[in-house]
Amino acid sequence: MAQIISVFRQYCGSGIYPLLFLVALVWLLFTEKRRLVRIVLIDVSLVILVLFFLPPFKALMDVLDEGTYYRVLWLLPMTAVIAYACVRIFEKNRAAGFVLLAVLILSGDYVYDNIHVTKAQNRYHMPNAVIAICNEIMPAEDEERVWAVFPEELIYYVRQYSSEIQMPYGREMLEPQWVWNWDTHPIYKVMREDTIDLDALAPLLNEYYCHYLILNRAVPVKGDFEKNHLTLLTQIEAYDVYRNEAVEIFKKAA
Amino acid sequence: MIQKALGFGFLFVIAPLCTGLLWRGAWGERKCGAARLYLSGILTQFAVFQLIAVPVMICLPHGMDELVLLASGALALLSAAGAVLYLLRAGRDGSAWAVPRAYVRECRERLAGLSREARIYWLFAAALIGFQLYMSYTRAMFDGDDSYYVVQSVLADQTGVLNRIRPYTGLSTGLDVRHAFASLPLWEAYVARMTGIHAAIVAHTLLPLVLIPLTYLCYYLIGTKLFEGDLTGKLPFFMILVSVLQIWGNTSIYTNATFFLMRTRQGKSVMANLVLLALLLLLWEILERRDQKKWGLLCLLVITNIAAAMMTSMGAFLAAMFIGIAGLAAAVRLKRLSLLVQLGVCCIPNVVYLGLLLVMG
Repeated sequence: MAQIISVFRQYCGSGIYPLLFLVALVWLLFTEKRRLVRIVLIDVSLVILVLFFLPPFKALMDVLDEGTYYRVLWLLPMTAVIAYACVRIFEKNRAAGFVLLAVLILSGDYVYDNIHVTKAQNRYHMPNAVIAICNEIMPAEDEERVWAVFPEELIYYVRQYSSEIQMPYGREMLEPQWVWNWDTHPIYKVMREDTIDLDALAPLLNEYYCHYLILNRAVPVKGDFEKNHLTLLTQIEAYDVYRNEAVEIFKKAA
Repeated sequence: MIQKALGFGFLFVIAPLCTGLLWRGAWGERKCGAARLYLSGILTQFAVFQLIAVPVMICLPHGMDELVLLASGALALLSAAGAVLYLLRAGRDGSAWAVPRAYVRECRERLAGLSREARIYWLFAAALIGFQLYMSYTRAMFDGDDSYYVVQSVLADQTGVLNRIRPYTGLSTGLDVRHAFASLPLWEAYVARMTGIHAAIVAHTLLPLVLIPLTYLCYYLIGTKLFEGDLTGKLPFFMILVSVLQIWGNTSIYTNATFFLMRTRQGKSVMANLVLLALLLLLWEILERRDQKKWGLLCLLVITNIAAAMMTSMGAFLAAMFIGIAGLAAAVRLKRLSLLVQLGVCCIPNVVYLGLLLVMG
């Protein structure tokens, strides 16, 4: 039961909308006369709520898809119920309706303030640097796909732009909760260090046939690029793009 | 540019509206406006794509070209069937153009009849929706899951391979049934192929411009039920409140609103918003028809269930659960056990899909 309450709390987060929903639901339960509204909005919500808080139901859902129990709460017509209750009040008293509107705005959390929302740099909605780097290292038409190692902040985007660029590891290294595969790739072990050790990295780049290395200039590097067969191709925004000369780019079979 | 316009026009205007015409009888000819036609058409498009995509991806690992051909053929056929049926039916009494004309006239009359207060509310509601569209276009909403789902679309579009490449790295892999059977990423790749737009742009920029208004269309239709078509103030105020609840609904990363505006392109978001609202609307419409014909709507419910399976692996289960709960509540309240049986039959595709997932997953 504690787990279920924890899921509910996590779903509610910082807002009072679920609380407003419960208040609206109870109010409608006692005041709503229309049978279909009662069935579709109130009865359905009540049954879903009861089911959600039943431990055997959670056990069943965990068998089907563990870790996504909060999705049962998606079934609650929360928005429709809150809005409908507010309109019912608005219908009787315009001022009260506007006060409720203000309460909703003030008690909510503005979605566009989220840290993951940024001004789009292009229609791909990914950093311009990713596109420029990918275009720089993109194989020619007669060449096989290339492998490249990117700094972790770019990993999410690279393959959203091009399937021609492959990576020895991807997002699975970056999710701390994915314990089953985190921290397993040897290249990532070097790349995530505060100072990147080129002498440790270069043999791994060769072992995993990586043609390119992209480094964030803000991250210190120790070791000699030339000695490790890394040639600076270009600099794009905050990144240096290196070609690993030790690994050949193959031509496509004719 | 021509391909973009033609592809977009076919997928998001002609096909949904013409396919929607097939459902005119189900909604009731007098009741069926453009909003219901469009919603039914796009749900049909999703379901048909899902029914084609799953067998194609199982049988043809490199089957993107075949998928595009089959899906386009099916959509063209359905669109043609909808248009021909409509023209035949309406042509019989010479009303082929009279129906849309009457619809436009009715809309105009309703608009003309609005009070000044109602007009202000409607303008405000439209501005809020417009604001969300503007933000979806001009703001990048980062989500880690895109490096799985959007990449699957990019891979299908650029390599023609259906779910056999690891999105994170590019290495080959087997079919990950649990994720692959929810074929929305392939539909996004299909949109990319048809329009010639990069799949990432389709996902991040184009789809929100379609899916956000479509979801509000559902809220509008639910609002017409709640307020019995009262456009004079209650319905626009309802739409304002709904918008506010979405825009300020980012109280946690799990809410429908967060998914709706931050992860619009992902199947989970479409399920949590558009599909569940469509189910709610359909159930309401079905329950309203006590003794009248409702078989058409039950068929549309089946279609919506298949569309739910397209969105997320749990979509079929969640949809069936929602229908089951609503059916049970209705059967008890209305004392109509037959309703529960009818709704149960509509969930057979969900059971088949879940069975497939369990067997192949």
